[in-house]
Amino acid sequence: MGAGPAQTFETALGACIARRFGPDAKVARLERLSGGASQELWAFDVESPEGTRELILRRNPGGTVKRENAAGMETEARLIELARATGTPVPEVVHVFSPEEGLGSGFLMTRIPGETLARRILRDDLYARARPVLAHQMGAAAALIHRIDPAKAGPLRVSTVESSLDGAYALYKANGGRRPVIEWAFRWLRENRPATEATPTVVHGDMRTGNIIVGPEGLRAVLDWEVVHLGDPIYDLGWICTPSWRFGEIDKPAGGFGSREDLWAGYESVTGVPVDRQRARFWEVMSTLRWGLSCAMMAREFQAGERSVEKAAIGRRASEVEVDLLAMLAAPGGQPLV
Amino acid sequence: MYDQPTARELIDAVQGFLRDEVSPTLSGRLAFHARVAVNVLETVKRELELGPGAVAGEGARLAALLGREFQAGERSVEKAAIGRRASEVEVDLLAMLVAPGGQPLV
Repeated sequence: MGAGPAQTFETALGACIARRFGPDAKVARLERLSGGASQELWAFDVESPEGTRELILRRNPGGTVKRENAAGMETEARLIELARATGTPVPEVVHVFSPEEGLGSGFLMTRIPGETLARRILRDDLYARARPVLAHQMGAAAALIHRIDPAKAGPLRVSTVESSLDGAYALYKANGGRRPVIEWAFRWLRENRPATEATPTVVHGDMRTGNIIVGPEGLRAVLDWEVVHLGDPIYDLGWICTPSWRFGEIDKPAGGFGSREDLWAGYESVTGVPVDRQRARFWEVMSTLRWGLSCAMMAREFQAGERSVEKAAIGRRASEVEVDLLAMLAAPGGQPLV
Repeated sequence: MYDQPTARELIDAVQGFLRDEVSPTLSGRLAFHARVAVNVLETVKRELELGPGAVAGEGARLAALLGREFQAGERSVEKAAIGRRASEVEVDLLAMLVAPGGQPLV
């Protein structure tokens, strides 16, 4: 048997580790964690005479091809380091791949111990003390991310209230565009959009349960910087409250672990400025709708031939989002149910 | 026609196989996907049970609302138009268009 792709990858990684950590450094316990066809996530240890380092590798094996809205691996790595400098809890980036290393685009970061699975964070006894403080901590972490100087962030996609609405509607239309609840939610969003655009701010874009590392004491790191961009900072607070990220704990709007008020208080503890509640509601509804459209897009991709059971399952969840939108916007007496 | 075990029982059997025999031998990504597969089959069971009633109910409500019958294919177009027109006092119409359990209707 010749060198297959897996063997090539391990060889290239071994060489990279020897260059970065010294000729005696070896890769051990390499394990694929998750990721689709275009994104990979691996855990491994570097063993060297100085001891063991626990690392995470994140890469796009194809190199330059990236998903729509993805910031790109180099940008992700740069923004994680900028976030670390503002005091945001994030891993430390220890190496960014260069093209001649033959590993595609990607980077290595420290592996922070803790839990990422929403089910465990929201239900296990081990995190009983973490849950009551997480909303406040997530709010504070968002505010720290928003302190990153956009001038240092390099080229980033820019999003506004206006472009988010237009982009979402175009995506909806491209996916068939025949859902009454979605049409109606778009109308609500147009009628309730913030009167002014926010100062363009570095926004994480996917800050939620499932993309954080939690320990028994609380938040340890914010992960998954794939869709970092410039936009309205309150977007991040709305996204955390999307019903899907409550993983069944629907009475706890902030990520399934806390209240909106705790989330906002955490944010305000860093900024010193009250969160605009109307704007937060707009982004929460917008985020919910946007997640529904992402689900619908996955359904289309599945039907177009990407036969992943996960993609099929998420695609079907577009219908759940319709129920969420109705509960948010059409509840009797105007009192949101979720 | 052979119809035993029923469709529901067949799905139960596959779920049990995935959960009790396959999952314990897996870890990481494959274990996660096995759990997703069990959940997907749960969705199929719900649709088998609730789907026909939901589609019929929707057709009847839509006909009552608009005063005429619809072919299955044109229903979704008509529903989207209602979504665009609905005012706050009409929101219960929207609620009527979503079936119990949030199953897709078309």
